[in-house]
Amino acid sequence: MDEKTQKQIFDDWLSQHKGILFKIILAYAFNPHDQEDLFQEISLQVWKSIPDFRNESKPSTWIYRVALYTATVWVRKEKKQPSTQPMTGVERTLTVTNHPRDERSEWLYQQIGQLEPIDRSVCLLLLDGFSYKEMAEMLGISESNVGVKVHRIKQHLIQESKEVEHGF
Amino acid sequence: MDFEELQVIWNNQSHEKMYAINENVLHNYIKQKGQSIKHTLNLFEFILIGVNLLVGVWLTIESLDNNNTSTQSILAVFYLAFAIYGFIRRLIRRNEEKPFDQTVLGELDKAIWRVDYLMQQGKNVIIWYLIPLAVILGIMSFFDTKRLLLAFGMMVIVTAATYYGYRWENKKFHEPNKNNLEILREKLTTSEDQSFIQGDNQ
Repeated sequence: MDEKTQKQIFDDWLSQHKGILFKIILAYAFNPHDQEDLFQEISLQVWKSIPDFRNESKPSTWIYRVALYTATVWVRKEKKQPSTQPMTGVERTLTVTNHPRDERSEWLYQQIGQLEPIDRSVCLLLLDGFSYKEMAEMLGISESNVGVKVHRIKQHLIQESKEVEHGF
Repeated sequence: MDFEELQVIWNNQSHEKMYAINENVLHNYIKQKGQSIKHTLNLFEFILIGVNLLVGVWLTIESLDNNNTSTQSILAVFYLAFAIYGFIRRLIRRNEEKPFDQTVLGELDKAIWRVDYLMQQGKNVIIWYLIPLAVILGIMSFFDTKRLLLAFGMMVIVTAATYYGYRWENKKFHEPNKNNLEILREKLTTSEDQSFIQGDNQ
């Protein structure tokens, strides 16, 4: 695959599915520096994955899988060796828009952020409406394993939401 | 709240415009960092094959021209054999990489396999390349010129330095990286009902 085609596919994917990347970034990185870093890392991995894409799945599923894997590995690496480089003077790839975020979605991201990296993946897929079968195929684990994880995550979120419900 | 309500909150925020992307900066970043570990492995293999092939061919020509059959011929055979070995290892690696699933688990398995491969390659270079070369030069230096003795001394230093460099690299990068990946793999595949909030089971 030549670079021009790869760039064209990348630009198409980015414009159509950037929402997936943003959600994953918010679930895995909690300050602007980390969000920038993770976005760059995910974009890079999506770019590199393009020659391997065989149309056997939808591009959105492919991007989701690549991004989840990258974020999961990134968060463990980052936890052990947190980056300390300041952002000043560096041109940024991401700018936060001024759109005010709903406090309930803020709370939801906070809850997702407290889960183990692998469980965050399951939680995002669950909230985005993927079936157990699709989740199992994307993660490479059995449907029953997905079921156990989903059950725990649902219980946890429902329990936590009860405690703050009156605050909203 | 029940889960359906949480999903409604989620779906509503999915339509919000959260970030603006600076595409020029992103493309520059990708161009700069685009060389993957696959490229690094390819480069490492090509250099290994190329250098050994060149030295092997050069020594063969030299030994034929100078009628110096012993030292140069043995070394030529060694270098050419190692070039062939490098080529075969490359073919094996490319075949072994294919079966990984295109899933998160498959990606983790592939990443673990690649770390193992890099560690194994380093070990192979020391055991099957540097040590035999030092031994050959050592033995030959008894029968040949002072130049070979110097070469033998240098090979011992290079082998020792490579060994310590290899150990340092493994401890500093490869082993922690592999450990991380294996922990993630364990967490992904386990279905036990254990604590799953971050920090509880590190």
